Amino acid sequence: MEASITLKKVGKLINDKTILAGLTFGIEKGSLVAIIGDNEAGKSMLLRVISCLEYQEYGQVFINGLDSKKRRIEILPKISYVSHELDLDPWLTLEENIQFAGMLYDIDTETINTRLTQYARELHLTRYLKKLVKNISPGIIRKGIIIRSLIHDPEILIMDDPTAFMDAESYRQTWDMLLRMKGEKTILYVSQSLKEVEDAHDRILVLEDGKISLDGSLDKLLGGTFEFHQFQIEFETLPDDLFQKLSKLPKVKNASKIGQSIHFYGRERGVFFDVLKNAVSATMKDISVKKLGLQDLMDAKYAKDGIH
Amino acid sequence: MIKTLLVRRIWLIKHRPMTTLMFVLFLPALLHIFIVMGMKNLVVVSLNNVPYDLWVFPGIIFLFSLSSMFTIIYRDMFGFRVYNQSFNLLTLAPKSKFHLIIAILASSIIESIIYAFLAMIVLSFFIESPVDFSFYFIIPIFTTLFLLLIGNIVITLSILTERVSSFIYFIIIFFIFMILGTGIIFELDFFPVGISNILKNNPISMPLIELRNLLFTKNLDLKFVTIPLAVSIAWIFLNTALIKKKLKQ
Repeated sequence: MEASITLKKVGKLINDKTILAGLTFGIEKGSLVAIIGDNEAGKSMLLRVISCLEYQEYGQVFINGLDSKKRRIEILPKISYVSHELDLDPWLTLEENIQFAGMLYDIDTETINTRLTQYARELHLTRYLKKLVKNISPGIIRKGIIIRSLIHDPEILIMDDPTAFMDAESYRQTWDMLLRMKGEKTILYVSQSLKEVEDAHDRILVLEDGKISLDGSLDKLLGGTFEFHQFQIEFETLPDDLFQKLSKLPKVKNASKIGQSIHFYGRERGVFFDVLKNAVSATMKDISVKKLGLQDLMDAKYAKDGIH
Repeated sequence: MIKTLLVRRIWLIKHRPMTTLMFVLFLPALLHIFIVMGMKNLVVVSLNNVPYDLWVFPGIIFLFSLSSMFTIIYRDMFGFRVYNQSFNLLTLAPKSKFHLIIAILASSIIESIIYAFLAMIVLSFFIESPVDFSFYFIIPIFTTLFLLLIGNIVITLSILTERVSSFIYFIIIFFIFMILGTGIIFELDFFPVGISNILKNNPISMPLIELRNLLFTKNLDLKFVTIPLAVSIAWIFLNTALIKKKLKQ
């Protein structure tokens, strides 16, 4: 597959603090890639660098094989950046904001209006187009920003938290549209919602302190890092000696006591029955079993220490 | 890009026609009341025997266009860069930074000149001395030259300042200087010779001095036109470099 975005040893400093540290990776054309990570991990800065909004101090970024520093003007029509901010002009209507963006890319009025109508219909935004942005709710503005980013028909969409402020319906409409574009456009996005990433991803990049700590599909990441299930048993009363006894069972990992409940991890579901057998003398109130997901992967404790 | 920025300005005016109308109608009237009506009792005629209300007429137009220019660039550049980040959209358009600076300057000058022209018409109803028809052609040309310099100053300020308080502080100082130190309200010859010479040789004062020379003595010294023009062009390049550095693009 052809690379759409390629980073070679990209480094970014702000006031001598390293924000991005020697990043090297490529993103294939037409793929949908999520970037996740803790606050201050450098996710937004990475998007800013790839979208030519800010140059990197070190290394090179290539967009469709073109160096982003040397061929910036040629690259800009191919990419689109959706900022985390609600960066529309509040004193213009939603329609005018989008038309303005199209005109900046020298797109003719007819094409702008055709695309605007099509996307507005798809995102159920038509009735808000004539309203001043200052009178529209943030979730609707967010959808307007996404349409604005598509108005010049970019090949690469770079989005910082694309569905921030959106309600469930807007979220679904937006993702339906983005997933439809998958394959034609390369989509790179940052999200704070791990559920969103689990639902939509092709590939996930986990950024930690400006470096990529994990890279792959969800199954690959979870398969490689966690083959565990999380268990929880709530007792009427959980005496310390019983908790100690259960936590020392051979296949029980990282047991913790919260109130009258025991939480633990196990590689196989069978460990659960071992615990039940040993706890049969106590009265149980509730039980739950959960396969680990991205949230667990991102949990700082496990990301750093693993399960042992 | 100039056309695009102008279209956006037209949309903005369309959404607040009354505010724009008030600005065009009342500000010239206010400037006339507070400047001309008071000062003409102190300065009846200029040193060249031109009635004060006619002599100050170009100065009021300069002051009016200055305020318009500040407002436009403050909103479109400083506000949108510092507050809601929508200036990013302009910087991501496939155009050079030089092109961007030129577009911001040109669109704001065109709008300010239109306002200035309307202000001239409004002001001509207030002043007692007859306004020559040629004023309506010559004043906009020199106002453009003046606004080229002013626009560059405001753009520099918009690039370098990060806080609205700092911006306002600089603007207040600048307005004091403009009103008192560039010959807008009273002649620079009233200052002691040394200070007067410095102020007259300031490129910001030159367009107004030369405009009055042309209007009232029919003389034109091209030096006073080319110097502000050359400074403006050099400043555009400086602003281009500054914005590239500031935005790290």
